[in-house]
Amino acid sequence: MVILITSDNVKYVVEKDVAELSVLVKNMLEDIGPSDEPIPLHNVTSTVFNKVLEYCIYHRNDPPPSDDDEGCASPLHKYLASHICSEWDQRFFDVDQALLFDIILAANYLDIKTLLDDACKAVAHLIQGKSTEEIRGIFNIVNDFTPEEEARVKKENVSS
Amino acid sequence: MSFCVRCEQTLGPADRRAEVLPLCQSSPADYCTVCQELVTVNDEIERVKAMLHGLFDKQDEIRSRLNITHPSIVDRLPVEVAAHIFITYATDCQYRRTSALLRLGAISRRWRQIAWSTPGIWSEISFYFPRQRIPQERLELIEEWLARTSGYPLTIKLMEHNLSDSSPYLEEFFALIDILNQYCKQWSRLFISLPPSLLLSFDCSSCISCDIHYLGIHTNGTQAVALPPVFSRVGPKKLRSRGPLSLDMMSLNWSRVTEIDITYITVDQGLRILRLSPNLRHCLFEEISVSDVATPVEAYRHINHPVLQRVRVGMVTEDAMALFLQNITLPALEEFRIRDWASHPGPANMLRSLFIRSSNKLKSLKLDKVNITGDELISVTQVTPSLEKLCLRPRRDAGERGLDSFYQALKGHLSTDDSPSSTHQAPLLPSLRFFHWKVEAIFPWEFISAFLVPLSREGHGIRRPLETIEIVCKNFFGDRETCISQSVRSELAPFEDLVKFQFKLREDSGDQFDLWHMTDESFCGSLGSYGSTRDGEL
Repeated sequence: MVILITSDNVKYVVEKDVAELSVLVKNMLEDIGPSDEPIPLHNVTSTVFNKVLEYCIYHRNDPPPSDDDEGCASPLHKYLASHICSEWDQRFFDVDQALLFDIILAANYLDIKTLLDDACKAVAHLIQGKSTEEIRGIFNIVNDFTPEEEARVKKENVSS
Repeated sequence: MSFCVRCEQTLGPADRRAEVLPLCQSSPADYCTVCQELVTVNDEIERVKAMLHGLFDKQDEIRSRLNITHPSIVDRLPVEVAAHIFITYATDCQYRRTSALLRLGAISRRWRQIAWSTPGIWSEISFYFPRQRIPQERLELIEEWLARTSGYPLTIKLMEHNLSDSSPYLEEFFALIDILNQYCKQWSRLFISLPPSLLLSFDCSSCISCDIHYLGIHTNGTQAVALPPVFSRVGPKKLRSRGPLSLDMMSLNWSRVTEIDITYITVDQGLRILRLSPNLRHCLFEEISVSDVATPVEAYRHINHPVLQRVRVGMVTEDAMALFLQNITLPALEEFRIRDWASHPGPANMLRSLFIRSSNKLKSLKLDKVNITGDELISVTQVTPSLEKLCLRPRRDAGERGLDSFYQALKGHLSTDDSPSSTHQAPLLPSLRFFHWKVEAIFPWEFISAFLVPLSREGHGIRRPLETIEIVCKNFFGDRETCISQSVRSELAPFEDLVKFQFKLREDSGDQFDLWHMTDESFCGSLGSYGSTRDGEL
């Protein structure tokens, strides 16, 4: 078992194989060797870590993600890979935007590739098929282009 | 009169025609009262316009800071994570892909900055050649698009819609290909379907080497697939060709090729490609024919390919296939598929000979619409004891009982007949894990248990390591013979936990029924309770 402490001082006792889905934790465990010392997770709150843990427990027996064949996986392969998402995963990522992005930040910090990939798919899905204005609306983004830049953007989209 | 680009309104007099200027011809000091009043008003308008534009400038400046002081939830992500999201989005984009990707650069300055500096987003470019001119703006867009790829491996898809060498504006398409030629170092996956004259304009001579991962070339109609001479430098790992091969095609650098998928090929070309491709692992030749032109005997010299593992072949004529099969030896062969052999005699003797001289490693054999009898199949499987997967799709005209002797032979080693020929024979297919049968016929269910018998008369419980038996009877809906009888069901029941029995009845309409759960009585009763499904969903 591994003891992990989140940034708001909540202590978790986690099975080693689950904890080691995080490359950060795995490396730390290798560095410190056999020890009962808790591992601090400075950038993750307990609220977010609860979700991360839920994901890691569910996916603990998944085969490790494989790299593309020399970076040349076929477009179809990439497309299918980007679409294969279980019902469980869809439910898991059906959370409010703030939590979704906190999960992404946590996955990035903890270095959990599959969680990061799946969470990025969830965000990509949010913007898929949306217009420029709709995307700005979803994420509360202000159009900060100068008139000249705006004219160029419009020209690009007409040419496409 | 002036036009404000910000508010998109014309600032000027009410009639919008012209500026209103004093009519007095004298110096301003001597203007009449009305003209003096007009000058004052004009000055005031200029002052207000300047002030208004100043306010717009200030508003722009403030607006540019809004996303910084109030970053959106996406903008709080590290750049590399945002780029990861954008690449995932790009991978998902299939419909109107170009504008969908450009949209990433139309949201805000930060999005544009991240998108424009992430080569992975721009690594695929598809161009469907129109019948009309290519606007200059579109060429510029493509140049800018490619410039953003920054050395990243490129996937390029160029398709034409009934374009021919006589199509108007063809020369304009050369400009596009010229642009693509500048990026030949980055070519990774090329899908090209163009008329020969455009195909020949591809030029990678500026590259020291051009190691393409995938090259797919299609031609329309009967035009031969021709390649420009510079492609002799191109060494694709995977090659797919649709259309008769020209001699130029042979000048390709075949040394790196590991996978080939070629439709329309002559026997001499096929044999030559095998000789030129020492690293070939997977080979698919469809529509094999004999060359129309006189071919030297040397072209049919026997080839022993030491590393070729997977071969799938289909033919135009049986003569061509026979010529091909007789002239190859494949010591590393693991998977073999042959299809469309209608005439008598079938290819069994040739296959048996090929497998005997080639390999004892064959794991997968698929006979697709091939004329073969039960006895012939026995003779083939006798020399392939390593076979783990057997797929049979007998010809429609083969007859329903054509393979009965083969099924009987599956338990022939258990025969109590004392004749030497039966008591000492080794069991057929001792390593079989998957058996797949699909045809427009009724499977002889009384033989299905022959797959599951022990491998020796002494017992010991050792059987074929079967994992799946899949039987698909097509278009026999309503035929009682299709059903599995209770006695057969009882014979199979002890193996239900060990072997996945997938017994299906499939109609051309897409309806599919699970025969395992369909008893004779129920088949004649209400089928509704079994819930016919579509597209394989049971």
